[in-house]
Amino acid sequence: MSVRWIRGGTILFFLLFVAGVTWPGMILGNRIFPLIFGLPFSMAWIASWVGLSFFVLVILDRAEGKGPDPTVPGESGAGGSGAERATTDGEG
Amino acid sequence: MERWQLIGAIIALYLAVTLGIGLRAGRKASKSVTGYVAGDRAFGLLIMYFIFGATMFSAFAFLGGPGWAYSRGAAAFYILSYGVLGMAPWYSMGPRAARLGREYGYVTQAQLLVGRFPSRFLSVLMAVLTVLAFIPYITLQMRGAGIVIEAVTDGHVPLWLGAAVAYGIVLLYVLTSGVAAVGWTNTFQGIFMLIIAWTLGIYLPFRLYGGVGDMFTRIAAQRPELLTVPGLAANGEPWSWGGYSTAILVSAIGVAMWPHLFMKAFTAKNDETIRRTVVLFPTFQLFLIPVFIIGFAGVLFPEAPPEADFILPFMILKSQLPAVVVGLFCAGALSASMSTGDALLHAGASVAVEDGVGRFRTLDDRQQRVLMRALVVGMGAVAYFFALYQGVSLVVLLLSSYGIIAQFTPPLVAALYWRRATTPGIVAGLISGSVVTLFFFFNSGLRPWDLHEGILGLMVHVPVLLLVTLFTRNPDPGRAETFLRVARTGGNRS
Repeated sequence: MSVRWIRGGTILFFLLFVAGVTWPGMILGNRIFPLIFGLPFSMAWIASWVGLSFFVLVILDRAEGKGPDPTVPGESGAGGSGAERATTDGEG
Repeated sequence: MERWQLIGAIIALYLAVTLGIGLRAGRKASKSVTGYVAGDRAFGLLIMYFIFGATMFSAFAFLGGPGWAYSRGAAAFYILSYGVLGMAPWYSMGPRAARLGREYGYVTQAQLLVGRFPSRFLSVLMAVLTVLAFIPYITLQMRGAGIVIEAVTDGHVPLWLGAAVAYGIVLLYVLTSGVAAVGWTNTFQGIFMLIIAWTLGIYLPFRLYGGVGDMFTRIAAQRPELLTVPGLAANGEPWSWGGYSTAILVSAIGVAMWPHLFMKAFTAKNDETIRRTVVLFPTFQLFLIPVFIIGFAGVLFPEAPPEADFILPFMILKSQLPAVVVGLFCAGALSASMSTGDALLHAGASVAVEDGVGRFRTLDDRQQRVLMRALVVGMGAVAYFFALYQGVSLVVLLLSSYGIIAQFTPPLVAALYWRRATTPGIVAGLISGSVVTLFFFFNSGLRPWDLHEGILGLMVHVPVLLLVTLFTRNPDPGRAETFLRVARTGGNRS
């Protein structure tokens, strides 16, 4: 899948996230039972959106990280990224 | 040794470690405005992660979060909802702002905005709004620190002394090391907050009710209204869907525009660091789950605290926990307070000098740093004064400032993405949006469907920005062109 599709998908996901945690989308998840890992369903519903967004952002970052974007010549971060990546990996 | 002395000793140890880290942090930073305000643009992923996490979650999250869950139930879930939504656009905006910062030497948000839309008025307006929004915010952090220390030492260390000691230490490291101290102490404090919140969030329900699920089953039987959105309003009546939904929206739109957060784009080592910070942010955000669990644990607690915000320290003191646990909790709450307070003091002073004073008088690099340090002390003193002699109005001021800060979003989005936008359009939008926000803040009965005043402000702001822009001409289209090219690609030099 191309970067553009993944970007579009990411934006779509976050729009759904907004819709899912505000009125009226929140009504879908607005129940107490069943408890999820002991948490009320409503709280787990919101936490799932937060958790999912981590994976969506990882996918986006993987896609963006595949070399400089062709539409963005000379994308910064390309220079010296080897050394930088080594440090960030060490910290993470 | 008495119990409160042991607790005090743990707090003192925590403060000493924080001070040590803060003082050490600045040794490598250059003696320049870029060093003091933007950390020589050299912050890596670890430090950026904790700056955003620990700065965003202040004393409000540690005391107010459980307080909301305890008194207003699911209304608190709005705090869990907005953080990631507010940070996600940063994946694109953050690197753009950082590239412009590197190319043109920006260290504040208003510098970036004025770089695109030249207007001294705009710069000064943003500086004034920033300082006005920060003072109540810093005051609340100081009070939070003082309250916690007073509570856990049985009043042996009164509020005025606790706040003075905690923020005296903040002043010392912010004055010495600037943003480097903010970054490294936030890393330490952020780790501390995460560990304490998750530990207590799981430990308390097990100790008091036999488990998280058992606790929520009992709450569902006794107070089911607390477990579904939108929860309760401050007066105990059900909150409105309009109020709940727009609280999420205005916070998501505004959160990354708080100057002390936005400016951190200029501290990042490279674009990848900012992107990775955004990607990892949801993992920090989830720490609100144990925070809420702690608040809900208070619902079934047999005694009630004097104020909802005291539920966490209250339960901890009443549950006969070991003194070490109480001391560590207190250090966690202080971490939350100080990690936000230091960023606010530092950013407020930097903005006042760079965007306010600096627009009227030419100051050399050394004079700017001297003035910033003086203002850090000055703002700290004003906030301390309010912290001791405070009325309710401060909380109210803080909530209203969110509506104002959200008005910074359209100008900055336009600056970074929209070539056609003109200076008159930006200024007209910002003024009209802020005026509408303030109007509905002071006349909250007039708000349709209980919508947040900041959202109503944006409903006027954005059309005004678009219309005035379409009816005015950009006198220097080449400047906008160059600016946006730098934002996309990182400038001519690369």
